[in-house]
Amino acid sequence: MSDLALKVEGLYKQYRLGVIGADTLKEDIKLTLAKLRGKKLSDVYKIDGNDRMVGDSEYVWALQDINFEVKKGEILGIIGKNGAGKSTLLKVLSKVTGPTKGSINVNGRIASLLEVGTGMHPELTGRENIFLNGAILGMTKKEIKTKLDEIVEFSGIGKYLDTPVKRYSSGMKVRLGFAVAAHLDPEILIVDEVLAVGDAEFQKRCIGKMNDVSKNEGRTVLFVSHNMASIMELCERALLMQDGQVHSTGKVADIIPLYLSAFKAEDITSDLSKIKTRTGNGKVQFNEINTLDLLDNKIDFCLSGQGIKFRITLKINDPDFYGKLHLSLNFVDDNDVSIFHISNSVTNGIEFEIEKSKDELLIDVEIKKLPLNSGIYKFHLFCSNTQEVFDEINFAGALKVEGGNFFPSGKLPNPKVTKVLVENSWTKLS
Amino acid sequence: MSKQVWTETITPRKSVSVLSLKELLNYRDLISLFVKRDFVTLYKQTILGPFWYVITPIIQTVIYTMMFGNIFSISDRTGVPAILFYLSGSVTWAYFSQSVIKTSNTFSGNADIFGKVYFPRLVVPISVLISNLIGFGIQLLLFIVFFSYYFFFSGVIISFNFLNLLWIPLLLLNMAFLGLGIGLIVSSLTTKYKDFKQFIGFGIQLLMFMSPVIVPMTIVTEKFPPWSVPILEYNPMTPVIEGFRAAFFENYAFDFSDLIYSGSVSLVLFVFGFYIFGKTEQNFMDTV
Repeated sequence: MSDLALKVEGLYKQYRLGVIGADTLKEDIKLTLAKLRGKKLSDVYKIDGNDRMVGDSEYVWALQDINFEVKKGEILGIIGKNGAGKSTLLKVLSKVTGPTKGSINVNGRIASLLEVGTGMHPELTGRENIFLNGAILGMTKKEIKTKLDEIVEFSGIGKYLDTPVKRYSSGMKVRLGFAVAAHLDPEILIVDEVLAVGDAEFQKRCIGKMNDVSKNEGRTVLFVSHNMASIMELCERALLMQDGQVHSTGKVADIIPLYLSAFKAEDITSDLSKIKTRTGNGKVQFNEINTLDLLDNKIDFCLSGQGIKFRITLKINDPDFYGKLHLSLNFVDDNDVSIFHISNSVTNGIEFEIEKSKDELLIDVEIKKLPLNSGIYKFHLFCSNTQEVFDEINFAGALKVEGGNFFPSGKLPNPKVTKVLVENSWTKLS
Repeated sequence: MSKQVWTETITPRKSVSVLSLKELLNYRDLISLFVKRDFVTLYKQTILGPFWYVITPIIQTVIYTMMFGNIFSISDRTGVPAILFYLSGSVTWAYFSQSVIKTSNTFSGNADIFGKVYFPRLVVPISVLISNLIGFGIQLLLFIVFFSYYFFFSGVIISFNFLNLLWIPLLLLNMAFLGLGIGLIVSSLTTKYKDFKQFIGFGIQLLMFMSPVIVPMTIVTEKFPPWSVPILEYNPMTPVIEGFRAAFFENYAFDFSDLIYSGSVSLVLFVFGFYIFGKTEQNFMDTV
């Protein structure tokens, strides 16, 4: 019935791996010669799918045969694991990079909120930057002029308007950039929460703005997030991406369970040494973490109320390291909300004391009775002393919990109502 | 059910079309803002401000005149006062070299903006050309001031034909296309192979020595070794620089028909540059 705002048909995007240098020049020549003889790229090179672990070809499909439609005024949530191709899809949609094959039909102007503050020049004043930034985002001078007062008021930079932006605080810069982007009034708005910078308040405003434009002004929104709670709250429909392909589309309530079940505990490597997305100075690093039962058997999942152990191997990379070591595990739910946090310094009241010239540490963390309802829980790992952070890995692993006999009754509350289980007793006194 | 309308279709681009020029028109506000930005920010927090546009060619002219003016006895041989000879060379060369160097940086210098938001990439080199034009305008004014002084007060006899000034816009257009053409080609190549970035500054300097900025063609053909003369003759900037001098001095030895060669080289380079820029622009973010 209603019109479409966006239609994607047979979209492919290919990337080349490796470093560009003299070798690629040789290949380019080879490729051009092959093209001249009428061959296709796929005849010359093998192209792998977007599974980053396997395959040795130099070309990968970051997006493969993507088809979907978005209706006008709809908020479509795009979900998927890291590296599933979500951000590439948004880049192609916003024309930052071109597709390799396929087509995208658009009705209206596309703008994305990840462009906040793009192209601002530090030497120009706030006013000049509003015009410059607005024009970069596709507004005309006239449009900006009519909205100037609104933008200034929204950004709250008032009396700094004629001061060079380099004198602004970083918060003011973000506010100014956001104010311009928010008054862009695109027909299709792209919000990538994964890439969005800024503080929590800023992100909240992004989401608020998104809700606003969709519900009140009938605009279309594409929303990428790892936060299932905001997806559920904002979107009617969701699109699940996996390995560069559309896994499924449909109602949010149907798609989110698919996403969660795709995130299986077995997928999580117990080997942590290859994880690249970690922070800290690396003097001490998490090397491995395994989930064991109390009899030291490795387990894939555990039961509510079961006793479990995490066996952690740490590598000491700095030969001169000795002294105090603080370790912690933080369990979070799908929405990245902390459920519980355990650390050696709180539980034992004191950090571990590490003697000189050790190169490896083996540590067991025991939870006597797991207080979690059924579901999948991810955890962050953290390791530091009082002065420096050695290693921090977000989403280092996941724990799959099935219903168990936490309570003597063997029953469990609805996981939607509570994630945490607390031992308690009920007595009728009179 | 109403009929579905699309305002835009994104597909892999096979060839460059004139459409992208039409699209450029929609972004004329952005071009003008970029020009303003370039002009305003260049001299922000400097004491002399836009006077720098005037100071550089003056210093250059003084040095050239001191070093080469007498060696080649420019004033006697060409009938052009050495100061005016070198000022005209500096001014024209500055426009060309600045245009090439700045446009050749289009992709690598703006990767952070280009990586986040789409607008026709051609906006950037075009705005560079226009902001350079402002600089050229100021320097041309400087030249006219010096010229008027010599014409009215110095007692040097200058044969000046007002009609010849009509060549100036044509020369300017020629330079703009030449600079843009080379700049577009280099900027497209640098997205993949950064070697060209290393080469361009040096290459432009070399090219200056292969042009009549310092020595007029009449002396080149006479004094330079015969093998080197064609190098200068084939330089498309040679007719532009000499033409600029001839526009102000009617007796200056120059044949305006040489501009046909220069103009066609500029046009070919521009068309080729436009073509490969268009091919690069869609996917350069993947390689830059």
